[in-house]
Amino acid sequence: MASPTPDSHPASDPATDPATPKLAIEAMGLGRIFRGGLGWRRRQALNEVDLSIHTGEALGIVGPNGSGKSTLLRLLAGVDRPSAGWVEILGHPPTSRAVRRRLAFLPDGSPFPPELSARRVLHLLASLSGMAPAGRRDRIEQMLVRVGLDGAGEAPIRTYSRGMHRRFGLAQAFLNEPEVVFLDEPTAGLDAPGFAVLADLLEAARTRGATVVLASHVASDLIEHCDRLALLVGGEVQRVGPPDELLGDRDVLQLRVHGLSEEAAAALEDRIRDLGGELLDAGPAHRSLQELYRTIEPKVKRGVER
Amino acid sequence: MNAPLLRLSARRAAPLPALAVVVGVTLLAVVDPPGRAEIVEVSPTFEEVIRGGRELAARTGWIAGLLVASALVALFAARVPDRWFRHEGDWLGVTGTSRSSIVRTCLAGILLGTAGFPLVIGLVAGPLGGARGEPHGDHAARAPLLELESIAGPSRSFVLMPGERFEQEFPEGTTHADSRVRVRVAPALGGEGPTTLARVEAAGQVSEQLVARRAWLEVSPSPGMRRVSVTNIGTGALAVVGPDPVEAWRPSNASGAGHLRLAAHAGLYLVFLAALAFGLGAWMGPGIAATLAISLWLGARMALAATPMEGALPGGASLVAAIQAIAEGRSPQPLSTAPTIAAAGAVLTGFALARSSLGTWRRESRSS
Repeated sequence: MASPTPDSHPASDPATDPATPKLAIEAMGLGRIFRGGLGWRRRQALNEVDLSIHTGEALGIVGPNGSGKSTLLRLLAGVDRPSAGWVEILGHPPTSRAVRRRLAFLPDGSPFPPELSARRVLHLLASLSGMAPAGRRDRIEQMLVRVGLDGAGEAPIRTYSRGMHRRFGLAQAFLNEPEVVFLDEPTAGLDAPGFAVLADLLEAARTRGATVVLASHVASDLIEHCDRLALLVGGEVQRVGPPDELLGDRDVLQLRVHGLSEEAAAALEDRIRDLGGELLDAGPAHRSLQELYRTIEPKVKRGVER
Repeated sequence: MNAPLLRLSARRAAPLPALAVVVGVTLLAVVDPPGRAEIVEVSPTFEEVIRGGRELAARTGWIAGLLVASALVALFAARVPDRWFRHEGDWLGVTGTSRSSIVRTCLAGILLGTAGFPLVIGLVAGPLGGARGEPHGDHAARAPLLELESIAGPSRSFVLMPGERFEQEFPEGTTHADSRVRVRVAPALGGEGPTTLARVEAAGQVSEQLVARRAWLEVSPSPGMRRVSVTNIGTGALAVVGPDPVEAWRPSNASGAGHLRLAAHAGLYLVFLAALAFGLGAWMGPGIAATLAISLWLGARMALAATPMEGALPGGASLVAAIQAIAEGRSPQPLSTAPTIAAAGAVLTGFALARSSLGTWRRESRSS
């Protein structure tokens, strides 16, 4: 495949072309080479990545550590510049000012000013993003409540736990109701209520038609939120498809049964064997941590871990 | 300009612990041991000869405070762009604010924070330091801070042979009842001895003084005095007069104003350093950038020494003269145009260096 230069873009605008489906994100031949040791050492982090993501779609990027997920998200968000290929977000380069006001990025780790409180950082980001001062304060308070940090909004970010950092990251990413959201490892360090916060924010974003790209090395974290998954290995997209198609195993049937007595369960196992199936796993299911927290509130359930 | 980002950069350029360190160092230098004094002028009567305590302590405080502040200012300024490439570009790079605006705001914040250092040094070495360190000893003199009224005389030095006389007229209205006039004289080899005697006359006031080294010969003239003369009445050394040998001074209303002026000189120097370190910090690690910025200043200082451009470098001859003026109980001269233009040039250079580094917010050699 020919590799266009980083600055070259297609002549037609796919976002406004009625003949083609409206694409929120389009990347072609994307490559990124990292150089080290005075430029002599080269490492190909991404190679010939093509992506087309429709408006309102949620794409999950999965892959092992070091496969290039964070690099890809940085290129898509316009934080980094590709060594080859091009990216368009909503029909424009991601570095264009018009696009940057409409997209949000949750980076991996916690790059926000550690000496400031969450409230101050949100004010800083809101003002940099051009959010109107009138509704800024209310919106920030709303987001802090939504991610469960309203009680810790005045504490410096450096005092936060890992999970709190992630909740804060989610708050800043969804603060401006972006049209395109990039979330890098959004579940890292999140507790069970944190997963619920993420699900709630994603649902609200998708309801209003936002396009979401999530990256994680744990595919199970993304399955329920994504329309499609892209498998990234060694800096190359190996497969793209719906989660069931990509991760489903037609040879294995998974049953979750409620209300059977022990005798009935034993009979079911026997019946499966009689039918020629091999029982791979059977036993009582585990409750989710969130369900467990619900049973012992209010002593433990505070929403925020310290 | 984004106000929250400006505040954040200012805070990072002058964090409270760093300000506290500079205050501590200045305070240590200002604490004046009893009896500390220095002869800054020579006269046969030893009147108003010895200045001690307060002025000398102020000078030491300024020098010590500025030495520490220079290193801190350069390092903190260089760390701001370093943070961009380590991790902060991940959120700065996706905001709707342009890169130029971010660089401009960060640089303005740094310069704003940098101004905090000379202010705290001035507070400690000036008004606060003045409370302790009163002059000691029989010959110590207390005089109000003096403000320069006018400078007169040829801009080049010249020699007075024994018996020769030099006269200088003042422009009308430049000397008043409380004015003091001083003439810069130094002995030079070529005569029969290493020292000589000089007589200064101004409107009936006569003062004869021994010239054994470079000295300022002072008289307190009567109101409306228009003329001052210096005669080499000794038989020893030649007397070198100048350059710009005659100065008229008036008591200043507030001694704090002198320290404020010195703070302006020091602030200009720190702004110069911070702007350079900021620009270099976008291209190299903060430690190297800070060291290089200080080295560049030092190189320029040495290259310009004893040249007509000596006063053009922020932190150069003008800052040294300002500190010396404070030590002599005089008010430093206001900032001149040349070092201000040089500092503005450093700010533009810092901006250009930092902006040109922002092709991408990601620098793999620095990312953590």
